[in-house]
Amino acid sequence: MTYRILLVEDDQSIRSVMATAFGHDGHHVIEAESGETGIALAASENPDLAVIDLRLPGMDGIEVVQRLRLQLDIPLVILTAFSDSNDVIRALEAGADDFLSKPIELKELRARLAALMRRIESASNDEPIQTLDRAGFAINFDTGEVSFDEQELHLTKTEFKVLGELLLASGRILSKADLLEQVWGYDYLGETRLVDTQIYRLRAKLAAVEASDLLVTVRGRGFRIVDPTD
Amino acid sequence: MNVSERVSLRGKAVIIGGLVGLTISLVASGITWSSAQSYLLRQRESAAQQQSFVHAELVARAILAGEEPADALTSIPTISPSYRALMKVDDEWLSLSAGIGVGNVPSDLLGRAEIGEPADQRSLLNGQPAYFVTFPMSIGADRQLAYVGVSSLSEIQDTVNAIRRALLIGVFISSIGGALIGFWLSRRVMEPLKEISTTSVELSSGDLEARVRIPREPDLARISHSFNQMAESLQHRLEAESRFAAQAAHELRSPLTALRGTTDILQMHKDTLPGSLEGLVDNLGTEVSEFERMLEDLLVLGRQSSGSDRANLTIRQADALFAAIMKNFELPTHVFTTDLDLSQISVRVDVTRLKHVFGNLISNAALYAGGVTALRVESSGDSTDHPRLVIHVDDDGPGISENERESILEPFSRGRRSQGLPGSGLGLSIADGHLRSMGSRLRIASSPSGGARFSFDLDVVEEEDE
Repeated sequence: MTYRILLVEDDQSIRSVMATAFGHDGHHVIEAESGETGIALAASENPDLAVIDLRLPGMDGIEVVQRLRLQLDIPLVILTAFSDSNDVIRALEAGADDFLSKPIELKELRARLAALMRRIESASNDEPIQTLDRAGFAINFDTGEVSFDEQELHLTKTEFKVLGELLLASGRILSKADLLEQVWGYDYLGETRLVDTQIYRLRAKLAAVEASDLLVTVRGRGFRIVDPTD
Repeated sequence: MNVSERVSLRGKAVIIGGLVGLTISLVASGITWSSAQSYLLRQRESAAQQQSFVHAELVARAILAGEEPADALTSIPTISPSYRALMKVDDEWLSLSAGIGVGNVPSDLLGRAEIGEPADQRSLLNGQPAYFVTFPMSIGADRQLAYVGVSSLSEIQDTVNAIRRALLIGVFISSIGGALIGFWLSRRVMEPLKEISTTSVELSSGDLEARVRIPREPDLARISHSFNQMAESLQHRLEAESRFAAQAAHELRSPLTALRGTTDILQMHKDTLPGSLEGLVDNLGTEVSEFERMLEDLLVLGRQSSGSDRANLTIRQADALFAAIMKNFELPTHVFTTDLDLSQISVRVDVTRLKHVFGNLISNAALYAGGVTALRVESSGDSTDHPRLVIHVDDDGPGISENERESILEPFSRGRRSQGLPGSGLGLSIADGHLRSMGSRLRIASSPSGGARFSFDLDVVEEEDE
């Protein structure tokens, strides 16, 4: 399957290398040398996925993520050369779904993006359970829609996947490592801050429909959804 | 550890306060008790002297009026019923009442009475404290009377004992009061110090915004103010270093990403290149990898040196963690040994750092010693301390001599076994830094086969910690 990949990167050499590598895999790469151009191209080119450098001239990568998140529900991957993990966390909190650290081997980059796209596809197509009503939530894995007490929730695909895994667990505790593996496809040694930031953002959205209390953090063990009717 | 080191500052303040209270109240009570006792005795002795003198004079007048001495002595009434008297007239000792005789009078005082010299003395009468006074008295012109008066001091003794009891209670209360004042003062002084200690922990755990409140006491305010200034400058310094590291990382990693990508693409299409170029592409890939590793090591080392490198500790199930390590580094299963039920144990680790540590130890073993021969997990075995898991990574290579075991952990230091082999001498130093950020350190010993053993420990999470 081929995808339209928006690449927002100011370094022409990196853009060129990535465009060549993704093109070799059959994907169409939309190159943007600045955040402003990236946002404009995102609106006109309808990409399936965006890779955004964190440090960009003018509008930085975090702002690009925030703006893209408002207009598109596609996976956003941050590409960072920073050593400071706070910047990565800020990007994840702003709406990014994953991050990759420079320098990165093309093999790993392509594998990560492939895993990300597989996850997104599985969220909408391959789930054996199509719909689920639990703890007041009504989730449709087929359409990607979710509501709580008949109030619609607007979740990104990653947030949807996290909530879906927690609901499928039927009240069982899922550790960060479980979520990391089930949602992101990382192994046990992956970066759990990805989970922390998604839980943080999911909880904020659940608070808007007064459902944040149902997402419980079990200290030292993980997370679970409690069903008040149990 | 001696007693002084074992007792906390607050404990010392309480002890010192109590001791000061005890000393002051003991001295004050001693002076009070001594003064009260002297005053009461003086008063009693003075009254006894007057009573004896009046009684002796009345007795002498009665004898002079023709009354028999024995009758005169007993017929003249005394003020106190406990008053006793002896009298010597015409070489004969007469007693006012039963219970006293010449034998009861202290010999010194009796001797003075015999020669007609006035004297007084405190002594015991039938086991009770008493005051003895003697003086001569004339009966007319030619007869002499030696009089000995004895007054009981028992009531005075009882009064003095009561005062002593009251003072001892006072001493006890004062000591407790002193200890309480010591406690209160130490609390007042310790509160800001405790806050400084708590804030130091917050700072060291990465909260660079943490500051202490400034207390009202000027002396303590100065300490708190100085601490905040130090925290401020530390924050600025770390932020500046962090900015520099981020900038340096960006400036170096971005071109390296392009280089890495270009090399990867060349390697992907290696089969389309002329044969003579294939080897060059491989060399390029090797050099880029080595450069990447060096750059990462230097950046990590810079962060570790500046103190801006913070561990992201999470709780992990030990069995899953080691299974993932084994899988990630493709170690043969027979290498891993433990006598523990790891499914029942959770550890607090920074997984990324731990992965780096294992990566370094495993690649070192592969490079210098033919690979890891054992990865053993044990309990720290010390039940008194917080439990920890001890991890040993063994090889059966040439080992590391004892005099190299410390120095090899220094940056850019390379042991004898690495001579002639590639490496920068940063790996073990960085691994040790990662372990230190997780509360451990890298230890080097000999493996059972005589090779090298690298050991470290991990913090076990107990139920109440979770």
